[in-house]
Parts: sequence; structure tokens; C-alpha cells
Amino acid sequence: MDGQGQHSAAERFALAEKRLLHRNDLDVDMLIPLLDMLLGGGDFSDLYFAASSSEGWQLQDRKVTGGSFSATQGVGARSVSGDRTGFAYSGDMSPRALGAAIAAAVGMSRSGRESRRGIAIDRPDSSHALYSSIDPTATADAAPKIKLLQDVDRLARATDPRIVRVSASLQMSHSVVLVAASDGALAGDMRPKVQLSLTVLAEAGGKRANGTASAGWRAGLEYFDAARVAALVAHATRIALVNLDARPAPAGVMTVVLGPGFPGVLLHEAVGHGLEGDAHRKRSSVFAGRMGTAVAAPGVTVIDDGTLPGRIGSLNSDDEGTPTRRNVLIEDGKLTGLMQDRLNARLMNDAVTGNARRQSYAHLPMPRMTNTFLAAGGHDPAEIVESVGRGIYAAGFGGGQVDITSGQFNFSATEAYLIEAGRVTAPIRGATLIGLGHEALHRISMIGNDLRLENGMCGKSGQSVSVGVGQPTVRIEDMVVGGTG
Amino acid sequence: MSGYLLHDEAMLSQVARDAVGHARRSGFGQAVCVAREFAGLTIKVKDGLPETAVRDGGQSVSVTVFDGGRTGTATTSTLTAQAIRTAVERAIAIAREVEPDAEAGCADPEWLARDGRDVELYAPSGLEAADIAAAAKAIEDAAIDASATQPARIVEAGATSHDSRWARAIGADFCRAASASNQSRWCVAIAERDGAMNRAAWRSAERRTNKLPPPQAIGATAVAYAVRKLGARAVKTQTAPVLLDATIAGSLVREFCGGLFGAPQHQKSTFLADAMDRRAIAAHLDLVEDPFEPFGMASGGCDGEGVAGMHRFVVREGVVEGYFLSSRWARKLGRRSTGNADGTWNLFLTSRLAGKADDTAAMLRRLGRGLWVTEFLGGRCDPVTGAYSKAVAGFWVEDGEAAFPVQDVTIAGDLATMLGQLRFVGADVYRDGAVRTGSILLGDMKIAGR
Repeated sequence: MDGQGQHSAAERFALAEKRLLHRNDLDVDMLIPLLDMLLGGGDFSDLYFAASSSEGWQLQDRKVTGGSFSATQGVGARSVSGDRTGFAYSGDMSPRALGAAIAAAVGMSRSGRESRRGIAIDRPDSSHALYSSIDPTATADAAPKIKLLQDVDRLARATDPRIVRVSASLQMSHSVVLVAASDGALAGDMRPKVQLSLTVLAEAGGKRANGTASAGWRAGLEYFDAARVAALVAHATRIALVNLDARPAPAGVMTVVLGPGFPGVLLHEAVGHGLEGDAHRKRSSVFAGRMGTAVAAPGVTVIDDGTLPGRIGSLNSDDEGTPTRRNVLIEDGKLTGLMQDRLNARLMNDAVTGNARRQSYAHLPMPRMTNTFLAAGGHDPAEIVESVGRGIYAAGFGGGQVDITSGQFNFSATEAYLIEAGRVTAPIRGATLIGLGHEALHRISMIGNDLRLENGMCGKSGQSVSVGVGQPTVRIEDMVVGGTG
Repeated sequence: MSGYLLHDEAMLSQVARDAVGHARRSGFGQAVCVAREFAGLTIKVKDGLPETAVRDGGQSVSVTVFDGGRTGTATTSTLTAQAIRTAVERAIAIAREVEPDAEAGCADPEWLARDGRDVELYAPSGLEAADIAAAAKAIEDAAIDASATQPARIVEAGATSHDSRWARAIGADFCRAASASNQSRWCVAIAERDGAMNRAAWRSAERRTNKLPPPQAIGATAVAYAVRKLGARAVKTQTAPVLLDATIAGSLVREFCGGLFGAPQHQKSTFLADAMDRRAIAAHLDLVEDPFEPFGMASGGCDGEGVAGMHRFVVREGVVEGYFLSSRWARKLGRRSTGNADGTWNLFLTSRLAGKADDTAAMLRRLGRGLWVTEFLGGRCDPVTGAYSKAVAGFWVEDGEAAFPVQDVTIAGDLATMLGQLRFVGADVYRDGAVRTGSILLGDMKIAGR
């Protein structure tokens, strides 16, 4: 372990082995016959052990009146034959319970074939050390956590007398995972996460408006120093105060300038989900069959990178034990890569990309994004705004959705303004942006030099994982904006 | 018929009582413990064979202790005595550290439904993996049949059967247990023409297998819904009335009800602030809540605080008669808990204007010319201001009939105005989880398109 609490891959594996296997009377050698049984003549099997703890503290009405703690553990057993998967899991990690889960998974995959090869498990191969192994939930000392939330409340209220209500929450979690697979993959990881979120309500002249902000990192509580807390509070209060004066958003087709950072959710929705391997294998993505062709305007480069140090979308190795990496999905407008897990990569004769992710041991892995962003371009952001005669400047979004089959995406602005004669003017509310991802990508006409990444939560098939989203300032032509103005 | 669960109600009740007993012996008389178990099977088929077959199963114990208004909660997925004691001690440690909220605590003793009526929710299917796979295959077969003459293919057909059971102990003398079943069937189809693809899913969820629709209804509906979206285009930006199809209209009811919960009412963080006894929606509308519907998807004998809900009017003739309150927010508002600590029970929105003949075709005729929304793709309703802006898909309607499918459009308005000017609710009632409503005819909304 180095001075920042970061362990090497071998150290991480040893810690995970101790926590997840030895404590349950298991060891790596015992996994080999279990994986063989799970394989059952199929193509691939894996066991995913995890123990997670999480802690949450909430502030309302100036006080932290409640907190919560949760501890879960279990193992998922997966057997894959062709494109068929049998899966069972157990919250009990004893050898007996593990055997029962394996029998259930094999019973349901019903390949009926005998095992045909021996299994040899390798040592861990991820050389990443992207974050600390610290467990932010290990200390029961609540005082610094409560003080942090009280600082948030005090700072927010001191910003402006129109801030009348502050709600804040602090979430901390730690997961120890170990994955062993019949193809020899073996990896252990420790994944800390700390997140601070706040919502403020501003009130003036009978009008009310909300502002929210959130930040997080794979680290302990120390991540939230005074400067980061102040920045978070300033962000939420600014949105609430601006929105007090917001007028209804105009409706119709217009030029849109998206600010840097979270508006990158556009890329996440309009492009990212459509470049996940499962959607291509099943031909359910509008981008299926378009590898190597121009799917975006020249200059548009989209990257998914699970190796950015500390980011909540980053992983030392994915949930199948594959080291994460930087994958260029679109390069200068051309589709160059997909995000893959083992099952889809194997069936598509493609390489794994370190994008297999799962919400927990009780869920099946699938191809998912890590940190997905539009690479920086050459324009000064001010120059981009000045280039627009009349349009919308959208600085913040509450999230978005996509239908990967039709390519239709939408997202809702939480902070947006009119652009008039090259200047950002009045704030607007209730703006929803909608479009077809494959069309919108061709309408990106200017890309700023101010790339910024932020955090998000991504849902797919009922599973939720932490991701990073980001982009520089961009100008997009002819987007449909929904509003009442 | 036996279900998928390992533990009976007596065993879970004992776990819950033991945890509360441990808290009480530690000096925390105000304690709530819920012991839960769930188990079941989920199978998706492709080309007649299981593509993914998942055996689900898990358990948890959650303990909440109150100490003079200070609240601590801890949850563990391990049901050993040691793990549960550790959870109780962690909950106590948290409660000792936080600040008091005078209104936080267990439900008042006189609110507790110690001997309240139980509601039938448990109907274990007894289906094994092969049976579930056969149910999913029947849906896929039906969908394939339906797509034989259509430009459509089947992406997924699936079936699940799950059982769950829980026991809740509160303080010295409250302990109730219940069991529930859930059956679900679905199909996803993609229609393709001229290089454009559209996806549609159709799903049905019930507590009893014999109430599920036949496989043909699920498979054929998914195919028909995918095909009818082909050729969709945008409409011009304009103002026109909007008809929300019954299958998606429940979202409007949920957005309205969201403002009637205790927290937003107390914090006045809703466009419906101080709504009690005031007209909040059109005068021809009633909204009834029923916790006790047998095998209802949102039925139950009591909420997570041990308080029973009520069969009641939440809204009568447009006037709000009730909020959705937990103990804490009830106390803050000077009211009594309504047994809604876990959300709403079954809700029924009806119009006094509607008759049996007001089916979807009649509602389209009432719409005349405007947008029939069959899908919400996303968007937002600001709970504070009521600013409503949604990305939608559906059909443009002329002369009371669907003229062409629509995409790339949003609808926007002010939720308070939309509810106040709500024109009609059809008799084409659809149940979406907790909410039953017919299709909803709204007044003019801003439609943004190309």
C-alpha cells in the first residue's frame, strides 16, 4: 500500500480473498472444481463474490436527525453456453450454500453436456491502482459527517436570504469484490465511494425554485474539503436563485449551446447506450452494422475511459475481472469501437473492453459505460455563445433517457438561458430537449476547449451503476426544444 | 401450493421480535424491525429456449431505533443472530450521534393496526423453471405468429414468478407478518421498415397467475405496438389538446399525488401547497384510495410503521380531502398518520361525466384534433413549480381518428392548470401498478416539434 491508501493488484486480491473467501471457509483452489461444475460443458462460468457496506446521513430543517447503515454480502454463480445464461445467487457464502447456487444455475442453463476441459485460474492481471482501498464506512465516528452536512446548511443559507430550505445527504460506501472465471480470470478489488448531494429551495415574491448539486469520488470523507463544499453549495444556490426569475422555455426548433460537464449526458444517452455490445448483437441499436462509417460530424470524438483516477465511473477491473481501459467509440466522426462484456464479445468475435458491470452479486453483468465523454475541440466557449444569434444555452440537466432502437433521446434542463444576439440573457424553465441521436451527432457544429467531467447514475435493465459523463461546450443545430413559451 | 420461500411467517416474526427485544434491552423502547425474504424465478426466452434463467432469492433484516427523536437505521442481509445484534448496535450508535427531531418516532400507540384486517396478497404459483420457460415460450410463439405478416421481429419474451414475505415488530407488543406473490409476463418486439427501427414492449403483472392475460394478448400487443410506430414523424410546433392513453395516464395521477405527501406539504415545496379542502383538480373528478383490495398491486394491512390505510376519498369533486402522511409528517402538520409511510395504496381516478360508452375510440372522438400520447419517453415535471415538459410519442389525431404516428415532439404546460382544466377521464380503465385510470383528455398544451 502506498501513502494514499492505494494497493497493488496483488495486494487488493489478497485482501479480497481474505474478506470474501477465507472468512467463509473457502480458498481459491476450492473454486476450481466449483467453476468446473458450474461450467457443466458450457462455454464459460464465473463466480462473483461481494461484500458491501453503505452509510447515509440526511440533513433537513437545519438538523441531521437520522442516519442509516447497510451491510450486504453474497455470491453470484453464472453458467454460459452459447448465448444462454443460467444464473443463481446466494446471500450465504458458505461452501454448502455456494454449491446449492451453482446447482441451481447449472440446472437452469440445462446444457446437459459434460465438462470437457480442466480449469486453471491465473493470478490477477490488472495493473491499475486508480483509487484508494479505504473503507469510508469503517469508522463509527459520526461527528465529522454531521459537521460536514451542517457546514453545507450554514453556507447555503448564508449565500442569500432567499434560500429558505436546505436538504443535504452524505452517502458513503465500500465494496470488496472477487471474481473468478473458468477461463482463468481472477481479480479482486476494493471500491470506496463518497457522495454529497444537496437541494436548496429559494423563495421570493411568492415564487419558489429548487437548485440541486452533487459531487462524489472514490475516496473517503476527506475528499470534501472546504473548497469542494463551497463550490457545491455555490452551484446549487445559483441554480435556485436563477430559476426564481426563469420564464417559460420557448418551444420549437433552435440552435442549442450545451455547457461543459453534465450536459455530456446527451452523449451518454444519444450515443453511449447505442454502442453497448449487447444492443449490437441483438441488432436493437440504431448504430448496429455501422462500424467504420461516419455517425457524427467531423471533429466529434467520443471516448469511454474506465481508467480515470478517482472517478466514480472508474474501476481497476470490471465485474468480470477484465482490466478497464480507454476505448475510443467515435473518432473524428467515425464509429470505431463498442463496449463489450465477455458474453457479447465472444459471440461477436470481438475483444473484451473492460465494460462488464453489474449492480451487485444478485445481478447479471452486461456491457455498461464507465466515464463517457466528448473529447475537447478547439473553440473558446465564449466564441461559441457569441456565434449564436438566437437560441438556448443549457448549463444543467436533470438526466435523460434514450430508446436505443429508434435513437430517440430526451433530456430535461434544470438550468437554461436564452441566447440573444450572441449573449446569454434570461433564464428559462421547463425546457426538454429531444432528438434522434444519430441525427444530433451530425449537427454538432462547434466543440469547445473546456472539457469537464461530472458524475451520474446510469440505469439499464433495472440495474443502476455509477458513471462519469462529460463534454466541453458544444453548439448543436436544429434541436427540438419543448417548453410553453 | 408451496412457494419459493424458505422461511415461514412465524420464523420471520421471531427474528423481528428478537431484534426489537435486543434494542429494548439496550434501553431503546422505540424500535421497529422488519425481517424480509423474497425468492423466485425470472426466465427470458429466445428462439424457444431460455436465454437467461435467473434463480432469485434473498433476505434482509432492517432495524430502526428512535431515541428522543433521534433516528438510527441499520440493515443486514445476513440473518444470523450475531449479524442482527451487530445491526441493532449500529442503529443505536447512529441514533446516539444525530440530533433530535421532536416529531420523529414510532407511530402513536393508538394509530397501530395491531389487529387490523389482513389483505390477501399471497398466491404462490408453484411454477418451476421449466414451467416459467414454457410460459415465456408461449408468449414468444404468439408474438412470432403475430409478426408473420408484419415487418417485426421478437427481441425478448419473458416470465417471472416471485414470492415475498415479511414480518414487522414494533415496540413491546406489535408484530404482524404478511406474504405476497407477483407474476409477470412480457414481450419486446422491434418493427423495421426503410431502415428505421421502432421498439415496443408489452407487460402484464398480477399477483395470481390465473389473472394474467393469455400469451397471445401479450405477444400480439407488443408486435402491434411496434408496428404502429413505423413511419412516425414530427408535427409542427403548435398548441392543441392532448389525450393521455390509459396505459400511461397513471403518471399524471402520481405527479399530482406527489404534492399531497407530508414532506412537500410541510415544506411547501409543491405547487399544491396547503391544498387541503381546496379545489386542486377539475370538479368532475374523484380520486379514491383503497388499501384493502384483495390481491391488489398496492394493497396491504398496514404501512411500514404499523398504521393501516383507509378506504377514502383523497379528492372528491375536485376538492382535496386527504394527504398521504407518515407518522413524522403527520405530527409536523398536526394531523394523524394516514398509513402512507410507504407511499400510496391502490388509487382510482374517475370522472363523474364518464359513462360506460366512453371507450378509447370515444375519447379520440372527444379529442377531435390533437395529440394522442401513448408513450412517455422522458422529461420532467418540477414538483415545486409544476412546470411540466415531457418527451412523448403517439399519434396525431384528425376528425377523431389516428392520422399518423408521431415522434420527436414534446408536450409542455403547467401541471396545476392541466389538472384544473382536465376535460374528461374515459371508461377505458387500465391499471398501472397502484393507479387505475381511464385515458385522460387534457386541454390545450404546447406541442413542440419540427
